[in-house]
Amino acid sequence: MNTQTLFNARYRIASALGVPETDVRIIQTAVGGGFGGKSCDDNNALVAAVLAKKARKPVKLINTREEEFLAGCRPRVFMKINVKMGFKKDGHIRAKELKVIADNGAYSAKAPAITGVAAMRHDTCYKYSDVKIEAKLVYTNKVPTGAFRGFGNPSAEWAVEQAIDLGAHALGIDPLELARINAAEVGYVSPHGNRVTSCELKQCLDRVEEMIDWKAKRANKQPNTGLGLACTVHVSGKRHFGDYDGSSATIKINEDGKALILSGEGECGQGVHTAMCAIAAEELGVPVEDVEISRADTDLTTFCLGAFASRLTYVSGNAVKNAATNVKQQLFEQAAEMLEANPQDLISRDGKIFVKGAEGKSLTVSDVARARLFRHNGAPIVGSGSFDADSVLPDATRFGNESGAYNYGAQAAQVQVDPETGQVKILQFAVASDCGTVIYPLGAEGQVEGGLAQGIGYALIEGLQIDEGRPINPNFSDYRIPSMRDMPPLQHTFADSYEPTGPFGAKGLGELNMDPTAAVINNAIFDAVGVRVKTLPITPEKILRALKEKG
Amino acid sequence: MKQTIRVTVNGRVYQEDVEPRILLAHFLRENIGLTGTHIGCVVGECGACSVLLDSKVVKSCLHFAVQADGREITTIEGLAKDGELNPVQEAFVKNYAFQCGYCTPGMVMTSYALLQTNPNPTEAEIRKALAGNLCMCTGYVQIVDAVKEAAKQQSTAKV
Amino acid sequence: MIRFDYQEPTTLKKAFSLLEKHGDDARVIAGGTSLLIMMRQRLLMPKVVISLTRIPKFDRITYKPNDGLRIGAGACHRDIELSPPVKKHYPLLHETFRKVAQPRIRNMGTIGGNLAAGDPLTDPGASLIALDAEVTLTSSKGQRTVRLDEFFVDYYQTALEAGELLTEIHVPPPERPGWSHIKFTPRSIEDFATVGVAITVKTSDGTCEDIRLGLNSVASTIVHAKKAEAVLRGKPITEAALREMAEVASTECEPTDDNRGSAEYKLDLIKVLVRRAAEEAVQRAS
Repeated sequence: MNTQTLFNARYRIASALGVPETDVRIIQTAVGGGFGGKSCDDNNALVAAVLAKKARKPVKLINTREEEFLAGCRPRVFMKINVKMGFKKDGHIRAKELKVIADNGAYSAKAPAITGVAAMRHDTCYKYSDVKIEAKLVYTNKVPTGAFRGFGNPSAEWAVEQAIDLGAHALGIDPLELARINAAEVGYVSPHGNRVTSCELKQCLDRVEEMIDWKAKRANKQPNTGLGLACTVHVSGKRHFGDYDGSSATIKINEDGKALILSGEGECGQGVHTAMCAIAAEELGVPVEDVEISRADTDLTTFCLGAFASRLTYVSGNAVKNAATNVKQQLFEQAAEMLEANPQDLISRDGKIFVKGAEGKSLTVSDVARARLFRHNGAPIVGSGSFDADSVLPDATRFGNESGAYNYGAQAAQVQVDPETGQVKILQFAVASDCGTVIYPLGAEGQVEGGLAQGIGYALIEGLQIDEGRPINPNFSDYRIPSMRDMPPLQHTFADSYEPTGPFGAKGLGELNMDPTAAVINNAIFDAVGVRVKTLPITPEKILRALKEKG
Repeated sequence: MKQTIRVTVNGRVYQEDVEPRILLAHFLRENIGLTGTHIGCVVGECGACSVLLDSKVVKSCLHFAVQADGREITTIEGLAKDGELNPVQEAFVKNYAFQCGYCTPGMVMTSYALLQTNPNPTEAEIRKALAGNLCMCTGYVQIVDAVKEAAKQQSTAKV
Repeated sequence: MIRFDYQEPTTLKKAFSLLEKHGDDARVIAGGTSLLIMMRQRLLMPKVVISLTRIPKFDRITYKPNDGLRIGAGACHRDIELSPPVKKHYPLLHETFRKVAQPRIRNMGTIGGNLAAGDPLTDPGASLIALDAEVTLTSSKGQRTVRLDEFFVDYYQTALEAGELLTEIHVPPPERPGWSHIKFTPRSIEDFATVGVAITVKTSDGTCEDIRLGLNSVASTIVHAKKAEAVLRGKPITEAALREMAEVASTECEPTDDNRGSAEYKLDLIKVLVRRAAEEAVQRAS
């Protein structure tokens, strides 16, 4: 099934069909990227299920791309945001007032949660003491909206990070300095209770400053060229579906010593499976090649929430680590018998188990697994683990701690604007991300690069055009997405960081770098030519019109 | 009214009766059973359906199967030989040049075709050649890295 | 996709007899890149589709110094882009065809298909007009030659009559050494042009001896901006003259609002891009 949240999908279909959950089996196959669009808001699966039940035959229902645009796409929640910010003369933020009007579309799926995120998520980015937010969600006769990477945060950061930029200009303080003055730090608690347990935002600012050569470029400003900056914060999972933001996993050791992780979390290309194998391998002390992971299948794997809110590395990573700890314990108990030693004195490294200091006499994981199994009262080595983030479900007044860990980042860009056509060229982009320990570097890089590409699309290229409720550009000829030649030269880096509650210090990353990109670009355009487009996408036409109005 | 066509796909000859309206992409997937060629947009924009037609890369969603009568097609399934991945495929794996994998067959086919005619492309040439292959996941950086590496591997292999 | 019959005539004569037999029920196909999309959207619903790809020598490209370039209608964009005589003698065309869509489309789409569709958003037409191209229209009754700037009649309508096929494009020997091509795409580089400008110019001693200006995506057909040309032809080339020419060019266009820009914006762009293209062409001419 086309989903990134299997157990949620199972629940939805079971409810629709009026049957117990265990009568429905969801198996995840490779169906392309999700980005939130496959978190159970679509109706095709339900329709197919109802028809299959009636026909007593398999039913497949696939939208054409056009149908996907017209009926299935669940576009991002469109919002109008008014920001008012107060600063002290020294640059400290004194207060923030936000008014949000969000467009739900015809039917409500995740829009309430998305509006909530837009209203409040950014409070965790800087040290705010006083905030006042009013957010309204409105039904409209348009295509129903849904979740998409960032989940309201891109909209919020588009508005607030530009307000900060405006503040910097009004105060006569360099935007990077202003960000430094206000950046969140470890120990910060946001006005609604989000607790920051690791934060390298300042380090990220230092890194982008270096990568883009901020000081020198600002001192040597060229005509029609400008620099822009924005900071970003995102969650590593979100306590939202009941009082649970957790995951579970089972690991079994096969007779050949290879480990298999059974997990129901939704891999749709982010590389989370590789990360989980790496975490399990690290904990078990085996080569990562000796760890495999199953397909997600609601019949065979235990409950978990799926891919959203950048949760997988942190939440399921922890569950996998706990399962691995359990399995290691069993391995050590068995190995201890065989080596006539104490389980506490054992080490596992590169697939070998031995007594500390006596590496010469070691057992392979396979030796141990077989010995445990092939004997009187034998049993396989298999263990489970679960993890629920130490977060607090926000109450009716929105007070709580929505996530177990927060990830941070900074982005900067240099742009050149053609004042006669309004055309924007991004000369350089620099990105620094704080995702704690980087478990799988290639995968993490892919998330940064992919997130930024979508951010550029969101800022400059994409735009669903609606006329009387209908999308009028429902195909890839008229709705463009960034192509290879639209991508700017990019430098990016990961901060040295460690999240104490994360698996080996890791926390989330997937959505972080889509959130601030539009604001970065618009701040840079303002620095270049002194105009600020207020609506997305930022088109050359809007820039030219603004330049003409400016005179 | 159905027509009989003969096409060679990955070196094997197929004779099939098809309606003229069947797209080449659907023909490959449903009649021949080679589902490696993906359909992303059906308007020729995304490139997920790219295949080689007589060694030119084309978008199989903009082609009727009947137009391919008598011609040779190579799909993604035809690149690996005797279980060994083609250098382009190897480079994609090594560089993590795919995430969800949907655009990947098209990317690989286009990269493969590029290196056949331009064994040492610059980054700009790579980006231009692959311009018609869209990807939502990767941001393209690791794909470009993979093509550069494949080019290097192929030239080392030739020496 | 609608149902249809598919025919592959092996000679032009057979193609004509099929066209006569089926009349309005038939459409010809070569590459198919635009026909297929229009059929999927049910904008065109032919009962018979006649492929021209089996007709021998239909895609031939030849060049003779005293005659110029002759391109068979079946030549695909990629062949024209890569053709050595095009690269050598018609750099404007080489540059234009490099920018048409992307390589995969250029491998499939043909110049004949492109021109015969009469789509004002596509690139080749403006450049060919700037090179005084003419097209040969053939039917079972004979042949006639039409100047390309008279071939485009209206939105998706050309001078092709029932039973006629566009069989050849003739580009005379190049007479104006200065050239420029601008394809302005504000969103993705891979988009259709919001405004496209093609210009050829011949100068001597700072005076414009001759000039041709073509624009696409700015009206219901591809535009040959004759009034704008007249502003500069025979006159000294000054910044003011180029600006005036660009202003007049914008009056010869009738852009519409669409998802690539408003009409007002396109008019602003025309004034800027025509001037810039002219500046570049003049520089190349000297």
